[in-house]
Amino acid sequence: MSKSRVFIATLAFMTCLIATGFPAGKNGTIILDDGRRIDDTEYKIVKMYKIIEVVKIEGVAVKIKYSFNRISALLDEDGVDVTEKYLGKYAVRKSSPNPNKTKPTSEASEAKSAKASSPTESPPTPTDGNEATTARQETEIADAPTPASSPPDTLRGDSESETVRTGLHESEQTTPIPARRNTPGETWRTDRARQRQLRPSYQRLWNFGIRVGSNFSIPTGQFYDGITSGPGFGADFMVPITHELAFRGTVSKSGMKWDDNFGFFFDDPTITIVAQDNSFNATRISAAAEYYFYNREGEFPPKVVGFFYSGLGAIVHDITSTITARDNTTSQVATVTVTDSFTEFILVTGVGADLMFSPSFGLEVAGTMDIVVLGSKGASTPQYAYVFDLRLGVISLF
Amino acid sequence: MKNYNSKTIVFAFALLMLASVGCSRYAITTDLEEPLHAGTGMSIGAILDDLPADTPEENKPTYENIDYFKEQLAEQIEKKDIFAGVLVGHDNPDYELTGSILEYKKGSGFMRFIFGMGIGAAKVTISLTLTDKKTGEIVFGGNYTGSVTSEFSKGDKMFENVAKDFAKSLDKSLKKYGWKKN
Repeated sequence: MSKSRVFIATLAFMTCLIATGFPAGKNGTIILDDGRRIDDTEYKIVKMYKIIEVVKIEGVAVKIKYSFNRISALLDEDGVDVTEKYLGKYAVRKSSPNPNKTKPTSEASEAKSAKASSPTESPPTPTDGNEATTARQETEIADAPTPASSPPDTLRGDSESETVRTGLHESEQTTPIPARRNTPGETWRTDRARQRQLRPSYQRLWNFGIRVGSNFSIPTGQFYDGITSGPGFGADFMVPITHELAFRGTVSKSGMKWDDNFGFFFDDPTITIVAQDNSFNATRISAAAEYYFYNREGEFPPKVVGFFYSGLGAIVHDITSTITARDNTTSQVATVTVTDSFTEFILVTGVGADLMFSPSFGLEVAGTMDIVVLGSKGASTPQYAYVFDLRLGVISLF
Repeated sequence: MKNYNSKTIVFAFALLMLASVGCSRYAITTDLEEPLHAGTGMSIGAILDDLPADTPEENKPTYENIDYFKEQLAEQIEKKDIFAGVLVGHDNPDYELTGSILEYKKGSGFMRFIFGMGIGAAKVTISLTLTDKKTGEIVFGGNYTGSVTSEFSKGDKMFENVAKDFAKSLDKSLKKYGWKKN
């Protein structure tokens, strides 16, 4: 194809593209939101700018533009409401619940008679089509009511201040709200950053918290064969990040015990173990993120706060054996203490609830699971053991 | 038929593209019939929600967007030296500028950055009207569209574009009357 044909084809294509971009004219009646009715019109809908451009009234060329938000109803030549057909979702708007929508014909007639008698109204002036618009046609909008909307937002006002609940102590303090320039009638939502600033749920409700409690640890898995469950104790330290989230540090000691069948013995028959006292303790140190959940619709500060947490840490196993043995040949008795310690990596997770008796003091009930990551330990796959904890304690918030 | 070289074709194509996409970004609905009163002040009033009724709250602009828009309107109008002073939310101005947001697409800066080509574009259409507070008449108004398609621009830029276009169109309309700047 020669260059000239490419040029002509391109020109034709673009011409078609531009030509089809112009909206086709429609005939009918336009009813404005102030009740004015313009009959026998030819108009175009320009969706790009959300306007209706009236090109003819009673056969006379005009050029008048109305914004979509000024249109109450569009009727076709047979008087059928075509507002939704032509304006689509703009047929119904929040701020313009105009009664003309529902009763276009009767009210439009009244509007028409009002139009005829009103000295301030002048019919659209025919123009030569060069002027952008005929002025003063939107006069009445100045008196249009403000939208029927939600109550004034609490954020509004230049020097407004707002009481914000800031803590579980139920103390209230007045936080100055930065000056705003919003005007009555504006019903915009605020952004997330501001919501965080104002909503109690996003506040840090306390500076730090401490839990102290006793636990009952249940070790499971091959690694803990010969170890039985036992009581222990532990403490948590929480630093809130938001009201829903806190950093949690935990130190706990699990008082596990050796199984009754476990014990040391000597191969040498001349030595007899008279007594032995074996202990096994596990100390866990972990850091976790703790998430709080509570009934947001209920009482504030909440009486019951659920939480779950997840994190990682280390478990230090300490073995101590005190053995008293007698040499049968000399009858000499000796006591020996043997200690050993080994540390493993753990993944911690848990769930529980704080039952608050007061804004700063409560009872804690929790269950946790620690996964002890043992590495391969000679096996082909990583080995795991588990320590389950049941915990009962108290919580204090400061 | 005369042969056209490649430069001619490119030029013609560019001209057509400009003709198709370089249209103004606003449509004046009420033009000035006379110049504004000299030495007057203007206030920027309410910018209302005239979005379709089924628009979810999260798809609407925020107070912060509206504040930014008002600031931009004040800034751009001040630059044109049309009024003796431009205030936001003033109680007793000579003229008041109010608006209704008819269309709002927040767009996605991430999508614009990754894909470009109009994907993730932000767009807003606002109907703005300038009212003479003494007579209550709307003296100037139009519907303005602003969009952001560039991967390097924030979505708020569209509000700035609308503010610029409004100030420019008002200034242009005033110049028909030989308007002298304050």
